[in-house]
Amino acid sequence: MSEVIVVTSGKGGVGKTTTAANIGTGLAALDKKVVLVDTDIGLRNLDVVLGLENRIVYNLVDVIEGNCRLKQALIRDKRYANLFLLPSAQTRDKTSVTPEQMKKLCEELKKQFDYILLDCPAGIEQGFRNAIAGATKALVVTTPEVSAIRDADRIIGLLEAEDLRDIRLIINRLRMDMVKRGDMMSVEDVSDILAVPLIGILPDDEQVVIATNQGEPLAGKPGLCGQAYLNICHRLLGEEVPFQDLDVKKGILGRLFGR
Amino acid sequence: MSIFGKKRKASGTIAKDRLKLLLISDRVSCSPQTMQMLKNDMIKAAGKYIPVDAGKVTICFHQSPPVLTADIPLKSRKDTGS
Repeated sequence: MSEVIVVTSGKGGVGKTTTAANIGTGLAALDKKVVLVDTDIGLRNLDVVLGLENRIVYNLVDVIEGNCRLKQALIRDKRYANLFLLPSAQTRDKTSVTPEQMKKLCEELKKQFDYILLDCPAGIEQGFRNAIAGATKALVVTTPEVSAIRDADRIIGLLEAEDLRDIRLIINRLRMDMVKRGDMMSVEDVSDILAVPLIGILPDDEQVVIATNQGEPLAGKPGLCGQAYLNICHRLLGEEVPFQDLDVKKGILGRLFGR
Repeated sequence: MSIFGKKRKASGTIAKDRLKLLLISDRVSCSPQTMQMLKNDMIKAAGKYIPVDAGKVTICFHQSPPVLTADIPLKSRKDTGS
């Protein structure tokens, strides 16, 4: 029984691709057969985040147009033999693919994989329509900023209008120090406003930037973020995992020796 | 907020309040101006039949299920003098 999950956000730059790469890696680490599909045609990115940019021969559009077989376009991950990438085309645009073709592709991938993760482009135009066409679940990524939350709310509305109602929220780049002094909306504020069940909270961590620089996703590695990504994966598998305490400990001793 | 006496509303709260207002109009694709016009029309309509306390009327949208709620306080008997 496989699942097709779209990672989306509306606004660009909130961490969709990084989130998709890490959840894909995490699910693979948990022994699931996973394919990550980069649906951002014309702006290929997922390959570099995964460190697989030098292995691309065929892409998503080649598969859809029948220039190659699906198997030829799938790139096996460096670390996990059960993780694959279907890269996007860099020299084409969003109109090269239709939602119906994407649906068909997802059905095809379902035969081979436990999880199909679709990395959605920013915006609400055709690229978004294509990405959500075959999905049965959506992960909406937002940061605790007004612009990102506004766009996330719009996206949630559009997903519901397309009858995609299994929606989970991921709050990315949370800074507890700012939340504590009242200068950032808290997890509760954001989830209250968007009224969608929460599945993950990611602290703002420089490790994420470093990992992206190296093309090595963090999921499963030691550290707060690696654990947070892995927790999301466990929750996707239906396990109850409490949210980590990202809070800096109270009291002077806690402040000095916290974490 | 500050012990030095300079009072500042936490920017997180400002963000939350601004968003709440913004999303109400986004969700029903109805601008704040349109909301005001709708409110005025409702006051006028209700006021034709019953004495309405126009200053205290509030209208708001709820998300799921989507409902428009109008809270229209009426003028008490001593206000109307009847």
